[in-house]
Amino acid sequence: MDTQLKDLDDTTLVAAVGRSDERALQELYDRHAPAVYGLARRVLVDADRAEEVVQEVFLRLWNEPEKFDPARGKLRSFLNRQAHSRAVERVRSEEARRRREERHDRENVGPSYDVEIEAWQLIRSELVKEALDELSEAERQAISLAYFGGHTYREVAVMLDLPEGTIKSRIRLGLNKLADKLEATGLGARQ
Amino acid sequence: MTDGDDLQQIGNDADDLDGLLGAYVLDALDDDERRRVEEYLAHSPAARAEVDRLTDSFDLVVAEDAPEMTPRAELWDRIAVSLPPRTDRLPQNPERAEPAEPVEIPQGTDTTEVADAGGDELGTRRAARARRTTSTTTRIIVSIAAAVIVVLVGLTVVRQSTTRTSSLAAQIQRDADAAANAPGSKTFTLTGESDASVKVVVDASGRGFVSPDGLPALDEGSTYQLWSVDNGTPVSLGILGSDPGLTVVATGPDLSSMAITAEPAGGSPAPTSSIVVSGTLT
Repeated sequence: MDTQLKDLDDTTLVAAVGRSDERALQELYDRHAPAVYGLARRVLVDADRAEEVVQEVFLRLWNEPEKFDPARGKLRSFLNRQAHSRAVERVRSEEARRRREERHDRENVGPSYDVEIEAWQLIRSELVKEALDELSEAERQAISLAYFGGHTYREVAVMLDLPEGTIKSRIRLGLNKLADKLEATGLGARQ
Repeated sequence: MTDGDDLQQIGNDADDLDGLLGAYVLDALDDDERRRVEEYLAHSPAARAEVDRLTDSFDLVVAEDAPEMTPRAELWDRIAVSLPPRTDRLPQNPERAEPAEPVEIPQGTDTTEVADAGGDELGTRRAARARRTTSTTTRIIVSIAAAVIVVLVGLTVVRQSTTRTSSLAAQIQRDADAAANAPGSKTFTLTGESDASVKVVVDASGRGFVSPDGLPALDEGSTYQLWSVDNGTPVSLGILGSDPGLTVVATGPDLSSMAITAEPAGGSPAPTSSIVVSGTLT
């Protein structure tokens, strides 16, 4: 029966959430939870913990809808950023725990980044794929380890046994290449 | 340290921080670095522009590389029961389904107001919170009540108080301005015996931007309610509050006439009072 809610855009629905309209939140959940959950699963793998992240993200939207600034981008990006940040917090706190437990063997506590790199090959969109092709393997690896692995660039540097400055540069350069390429195709430009 | 040294230091810091922008986009900084970058972004439009640009394009990669997955169905239920009650959010009388008036809200509080005109399906938790009185239903015209209630379900109204200054409100104002100038929009002008003149601009997607001008404030136990009156059957388009400001309603695209009545707070399934203003497509 919520055909009218479905007709409303995200910004209007967030305003509705600001007045405690639960159906507006549910509509936004229906629209965006699969993407938020997909990203959380991608980082955390574990379904229960990914669902915790989704719950936290939508609870925050309920409690602080004013944090969404439509001038700064789409709601999907806003939610994804929060989901990623929360997923990464979990990864890092677990890593910290593991490091404490395995302090003597820190170098061997690495991620299974072969899996991370392999996942890049599952990319479906040709345009995004072409943009990714612009990156060197080293740039791709650094970005993937940092984002989907949930590691800081310093941790990535330790894993790859490279200077921190090298990793910083690779990440920034790689992201700029992606932006250049995607903007050239008309995909990356902000509305 | 001389002033020259200070400037040199600031320049070095900016270089360092620029170097961290990519890692910032990926959430790959520790807390201290992230704070420093965020302070830097607040003062450097160029750095902010780079972060926005990198974020936009990387979002596309994320969308591709982290495909959507459907969470378990019970997740929404878990979220729904964990939502803090609405009384924790805006100061208002818990016996009223209508939001508190802007004058009751302390400065700095989010005062975008959304009222629903048909919360019957919202579930027992929300119904308990809202405690909407059903006494007004005794005045429903029985012959049309069922049809009206069906349309009421799912109806949402977003109301922006004039005191609100957030970007969200600004966005609604911009949307309203855009709708006013869009070629596919329709404008309704509602007038009555008083000097009040209410303009409703309905854009091509069916969003109606209601700009009330001169509607006198009602007492707290009352609200204005907007109706479509096509085919002689009033259908609620939403509650406007007791002292309305710019409001967004979902109207649907094919209306020909509208009216506003004064109703008990929380709204009515069908009009219970005479028309305050009404009008047709202008």
